[in-house]
Amino acid sequence: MIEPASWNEPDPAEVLILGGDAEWAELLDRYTGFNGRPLARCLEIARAGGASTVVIETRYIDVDYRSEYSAFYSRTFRSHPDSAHRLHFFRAPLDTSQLWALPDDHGHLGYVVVRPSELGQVGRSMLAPPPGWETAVRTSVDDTITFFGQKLRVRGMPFMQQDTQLGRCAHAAAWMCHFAAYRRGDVARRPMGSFSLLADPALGYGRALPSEGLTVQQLLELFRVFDLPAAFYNIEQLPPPIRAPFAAPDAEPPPDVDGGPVHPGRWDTRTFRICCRYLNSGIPVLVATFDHTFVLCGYERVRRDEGPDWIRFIRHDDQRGPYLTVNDVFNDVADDGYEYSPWEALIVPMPDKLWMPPEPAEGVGGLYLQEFADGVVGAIPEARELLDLIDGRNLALHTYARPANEFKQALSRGMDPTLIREYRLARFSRFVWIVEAVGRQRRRNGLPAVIGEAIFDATSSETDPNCLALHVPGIAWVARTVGDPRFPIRVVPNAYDTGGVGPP
Amino acid sequence: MAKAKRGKEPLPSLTPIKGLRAKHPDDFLSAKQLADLKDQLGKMARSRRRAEAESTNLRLS
Repeated sequence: MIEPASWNEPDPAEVLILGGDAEWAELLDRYTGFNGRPLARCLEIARAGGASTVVIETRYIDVDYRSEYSAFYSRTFRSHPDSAHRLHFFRAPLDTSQLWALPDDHGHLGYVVVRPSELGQVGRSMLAPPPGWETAVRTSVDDTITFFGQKLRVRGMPFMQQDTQLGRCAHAAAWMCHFAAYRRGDVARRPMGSFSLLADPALGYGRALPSEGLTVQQLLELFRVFDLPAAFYNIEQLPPPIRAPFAAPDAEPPPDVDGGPVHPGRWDTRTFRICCRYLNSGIPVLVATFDHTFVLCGYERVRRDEGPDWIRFIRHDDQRGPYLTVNDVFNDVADDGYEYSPWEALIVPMPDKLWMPPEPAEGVGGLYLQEFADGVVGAIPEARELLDLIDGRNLALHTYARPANEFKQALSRGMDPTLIREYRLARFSRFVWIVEAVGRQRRRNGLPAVIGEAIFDATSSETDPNCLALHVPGIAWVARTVGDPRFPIRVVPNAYDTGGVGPP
Repeated sequence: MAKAKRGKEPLPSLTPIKGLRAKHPDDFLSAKQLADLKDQLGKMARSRRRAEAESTNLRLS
């Protein structure tokens, strides 16, 4: 690590050309620490994006590091610099004369804030996902920064490493979820130091400082205080599903091992569906293991020759870095040997008005879609398409939440204009849950695959989900707050793209 | 007070289809389906609350 005396030099920045392995290694060595894996992974991401230049902004006053400095580093006997470095990565080769007037094709790939601490170097960071991962990373947000008087924009999922003193993995994971929500416009900004200072010590063990981590209860309370009340799932006690009659059966528990049941974190496939519904909504999912936590920020569907598609999640692990794959949820082991399995709990910090959980919406939505199609098919033969997909075990449900305004805005994706008009003029709750009927074969072929949907009021009760609209091929029903519903709305049967985040 | 004159609604009127009426999607469910659905929704909600109450106090560091 650079000596504190020279931490703020040169003024105001340094430009390094990253030509080959030696230059990248030298950059990593500058900030060497006890755990260099997160920084190494950040550099790997920037390099995969095609970075050829790094601009190191010295004496960068970072809100998050400053909050940590005020709360902790200013109080230690040993002196610590009060500012950070911010590393900006560019595809274009730049020189110092261009810093104040960047060329149009600068190719900014994002930034990494580096703390002046050997215990946890990577502070607030925002890097674009590696090439080819843009749609798989589903919780990306836009971040606008100022670079020597010029606005730069990067889209990605925020990342931060714990500093191991004031914050631990739980603080870092909570910050990642919260900063993403801040950039979505759901909450106000909270600096990293607040995640330690405002954690309720009465809900934890031992001393708050230096931190030894947060309990699940502390995390849940922290999210409540920070306006992102969290849903909680204990993997050992997942709720029984409400199943549409056509849904594939859930996995059965394997036989006991050594006289005891196998932990559901090693076999319960419901975990996938729970995570995916939130990720489809652009909401990150915090996963708790026995002693660690990380953040799921996306997934991709992996085709298998036999059996259903496999889900490969993407995670940010503060101890290993951003954009890492989870190849096997049930046998989840890091490259360095750390065993994540079995996952113990899921914590999902959500916008306040997203009251109803997704499971009732999907269960009721699936049943409604089938029975609605069955009830109208005598008069509307086009509805047969949905029933045929069910008969052929070719119908999947794709569930996500959106702010109603954004849902209405994004309807021009192949949907019949008549239906767009009905949805846009309908009164919807602030957030809605959407349960899409998806043709599996069309999805496999990369074609528009949605043929209908059920829409639910996100403020309604989980024991009585309030359906706002229902659409199957050829016909739709839309509720009204006054008077009779709009029915029958005749629509052209066609397949269209999903309104969720990422491919269905 | 005299009733205010209302403007025309922006949505066109719909042509009814003989035999198709639905005040609510529940109208397409049988009484048994509806009862089963309410039962399952109740069980799910109770199970979720129980899982929260019995959650372990993990410490994540």
